[in-house]
Amino acid sequence: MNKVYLFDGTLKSYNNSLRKLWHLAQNGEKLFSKGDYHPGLFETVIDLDYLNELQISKKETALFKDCCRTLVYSFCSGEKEAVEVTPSFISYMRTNGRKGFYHLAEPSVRIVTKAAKRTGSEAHKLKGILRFRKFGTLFYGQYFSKTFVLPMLGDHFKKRMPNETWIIHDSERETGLYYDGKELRQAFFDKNELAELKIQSEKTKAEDEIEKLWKKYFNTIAIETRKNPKLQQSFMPRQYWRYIVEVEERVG
Amino acid sequence: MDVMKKLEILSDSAKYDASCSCSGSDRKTPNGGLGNGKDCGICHSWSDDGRCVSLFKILFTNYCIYDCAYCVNRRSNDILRASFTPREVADLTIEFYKRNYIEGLFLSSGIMKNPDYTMEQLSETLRILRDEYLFGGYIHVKAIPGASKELIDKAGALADRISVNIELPSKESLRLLTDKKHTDIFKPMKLITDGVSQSVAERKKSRFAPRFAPAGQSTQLIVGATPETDMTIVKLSEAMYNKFALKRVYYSAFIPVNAGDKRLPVLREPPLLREHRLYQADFLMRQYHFNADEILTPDKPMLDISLDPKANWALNNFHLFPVEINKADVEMLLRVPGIGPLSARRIVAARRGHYLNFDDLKKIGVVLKRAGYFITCKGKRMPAFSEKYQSVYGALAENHDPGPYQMKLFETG
Ligand code: SF4
Repeated sequence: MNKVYLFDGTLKSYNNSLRKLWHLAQNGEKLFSKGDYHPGLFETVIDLDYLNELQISKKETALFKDCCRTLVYSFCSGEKEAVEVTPSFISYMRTNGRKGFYHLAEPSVRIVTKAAKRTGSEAHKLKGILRFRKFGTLFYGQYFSKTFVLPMLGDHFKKRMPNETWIIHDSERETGLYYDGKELRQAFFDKNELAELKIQSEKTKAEDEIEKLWKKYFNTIAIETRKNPKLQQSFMPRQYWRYIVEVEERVG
Repeated sequence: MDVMKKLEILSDSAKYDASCSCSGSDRKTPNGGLGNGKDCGICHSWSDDGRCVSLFKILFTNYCIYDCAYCVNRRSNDILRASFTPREVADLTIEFYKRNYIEGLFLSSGIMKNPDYTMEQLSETLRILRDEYLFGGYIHVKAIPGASKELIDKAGALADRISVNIELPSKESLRLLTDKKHTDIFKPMKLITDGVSQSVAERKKSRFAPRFAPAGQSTQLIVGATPETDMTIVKLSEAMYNKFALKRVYYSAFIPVNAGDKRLPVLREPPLLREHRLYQADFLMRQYHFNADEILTPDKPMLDISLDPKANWALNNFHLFPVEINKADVEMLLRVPGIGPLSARRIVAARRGHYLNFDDLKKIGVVLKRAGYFITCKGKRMPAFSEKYQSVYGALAENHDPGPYQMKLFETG
């Protein structure tokens, strides 16, 4: 009998299921989001959302945390295969310890760490290329990303602008985070809510002035004899340009 | 003059300065303030020439009382001039930072009135940012050669990094190309050449290394304006890393901004590839534990333009290869072209479990099409990889496109 685990497909539910899988998972077992699962013959199905939380022993806490971090990043990549091999990954790491992270010959380790890396490097990129636009006292930052990097950006910007009010808005997934100078909370965007937050499509004059200054700066610093659009785009692919002030006009 | 015009003039003058990356300092966000110095290494944009934009890099003024041959801002040039006020620079920095355009400020300057006056203006800018606006972000400031120690110390206490450009790789070149009256420019250079006997304690007192700037000091060298060989340059850099604990040396391909000056060479284009190779050589010293003497020797004092310096070393020491992946120590693994610090560490970790084969190496991230010539797995060479020097040279030589190399450079900044 093959064992199959199910969770509800959300990050929260995935996160909760890791603690349970830490005790249950065996090599070769699979994890699916309920929406993606097509029942097969000869399978035992366990719905993790109905299981009680289990304790992690003190000795294993550090390793468990490291694995969770990597797994959450890999989940956020949207890679279904990484979700599927989660039980195998956990079982492998439980027996091999932290050095298991380097054992790329083990398929589950390879798949999970590769997916995690995709999220990690995109999150790093967005920490740089996300742009805020000021409306009243609110800083509003809309961005495009392939993987789901919102959780990583929230903490980053909280440290960077702890005394400002801001919103970051994942344009692909129509979800975001709102920070009021004290706490972070999740926000979903529909037109009404955007209007309520006084995010207009029109910039104020003062804001426009600052953006013009930045664009002037950006256009001045490029060295004419070294122009290299290919290199530029290898670092900053065009799909992100829509929300990047200094290049947004170039995408038409 | 409005701020827009000033910004145009003064960012234009600052753009030839090579250093961009900041290496994080542990500066925390002041209470009630904005930003921290931790997250350096973040690129916020890439300009049209493909360079990473991390810091707001600007000159305070491009007025200058001196007349150095290689400098756009020299007195005798007929160019548009402008000066910011400290408040203007501070305001721009804050507004840009809050919109996530930049990670901090890199403030440099021409010399107006005298070195002390200029240094005071820079310090005042930093004071406004730190004390009035409670700015915790990254600040790199240039020390003006010739300014008093007290003034430089003051700026150093507010900045994360302070640097003095030594500009040219030898005293002779400096004498030839800098303004005769501008003798202070020798001071940092002198410190470096005399540095051999200088003790650490003294160094802490010297103004080349004000000790507070937590992210350390860096300097810049112009390449190709004067006849020094790569060997001279690499050895100079090594000395600066070892004796002055410099964090970074930046190389800047000479761009003939003052055409017609007889003291300067006539170049068809800036020696970009040479600059690139020097950065690679520099990287070998900082990340791969190479000595300058291993990279270049007196009989071959220039870097091979068509080979990266690591491949060049491996070919010069061809008799040391192939190395057995399952046995070689980390130091040797690091010297194999195609194996980086991360792959080397992974190899050592992974081979504890079992003997590695070429397939494992590929998964680890080793670039086999380079490494293949230099390694064995379980005593076997990679199939179809030549052992002959000439064919290996041919396979590793690159065409003359520097390619996207900045990644490496600035990731580690
Ligand atoms: S002192 Fe500095 S700014 Fe002035 S001319 Fe010389 S290099 Fe240029």
